[in-house]
Amino acid sequence: MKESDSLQKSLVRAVLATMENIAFEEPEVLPGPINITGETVSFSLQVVSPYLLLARIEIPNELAARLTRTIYRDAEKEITGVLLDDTVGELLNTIIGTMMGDLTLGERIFEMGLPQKITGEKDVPSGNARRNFFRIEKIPFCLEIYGDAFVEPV
Amino acid sequence: MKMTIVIADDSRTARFLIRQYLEMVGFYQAEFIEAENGSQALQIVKERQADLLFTDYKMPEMDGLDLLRRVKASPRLHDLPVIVITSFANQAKIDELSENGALAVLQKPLSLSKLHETMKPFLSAEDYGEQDIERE
Repeated sequence: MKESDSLQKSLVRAVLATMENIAFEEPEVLPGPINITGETVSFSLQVVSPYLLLARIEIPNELAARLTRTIYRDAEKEITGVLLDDTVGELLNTIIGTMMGDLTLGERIFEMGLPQKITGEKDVPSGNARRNFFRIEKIPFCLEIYGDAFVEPV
Repeated sequence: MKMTIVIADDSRTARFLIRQYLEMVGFYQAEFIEAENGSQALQIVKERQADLLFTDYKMPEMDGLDLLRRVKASPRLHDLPVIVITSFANQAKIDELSENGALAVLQKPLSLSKLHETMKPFLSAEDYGEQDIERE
């Protein structure tokens, strides 16, 4: 199996596991590009070792609010923008942490940064990107990975 | 006796999830105090009589290792059990944290069964309820 394929499979497994464990949702993996419309919450996270990757998640506000409500249940009466941001940042952090743990075969020797909120115009990094689309209750969301390891064998 | 548990993590959602998990393994009567970083957590444990400190490893301002070192360097706080939660739970990191006095290093995302196993010694008989450990 190509390394890019195993990275891709790890990413999908990590998204499914994280959404199920944290938000009790089972995302559907979508095959093709989907247009994410409306207002969204976006976060990025950099992995610096053993691969150089940048992960970016984009979730429509409606879905972010649904996930936040599921996580907090009755503990938070008002779902604020700050809370949506926190939820999406933590989801991305857990997805990438889970993926890297899987990729490093339990050795878990990797280094990554903290989730950063993307505001305004998206600054698209140079290099190869792979866009992964998922859907929860008819609402699609996207996880992009920038980094050569995800696109070509290294 | 009601325990006081301090949870340090820069993510409010992560703090909430840690608290939920602790309640599920039996600490539903505990008092939880949350901190957004290591500095805040250190201030809280200095001012309050905490029984347990849960800390994320990677946090802005003061990370979990720095917090652990400061707690263990303090004669008054030295005996406070510190549990570190991290995505980077490789053996070298676990060894480093253990050598610095961490009671346990738990991998993020938390496993309910591992959390339960780690926390068993802190649960008194009256804390033990029928919790939803089977959920995961």
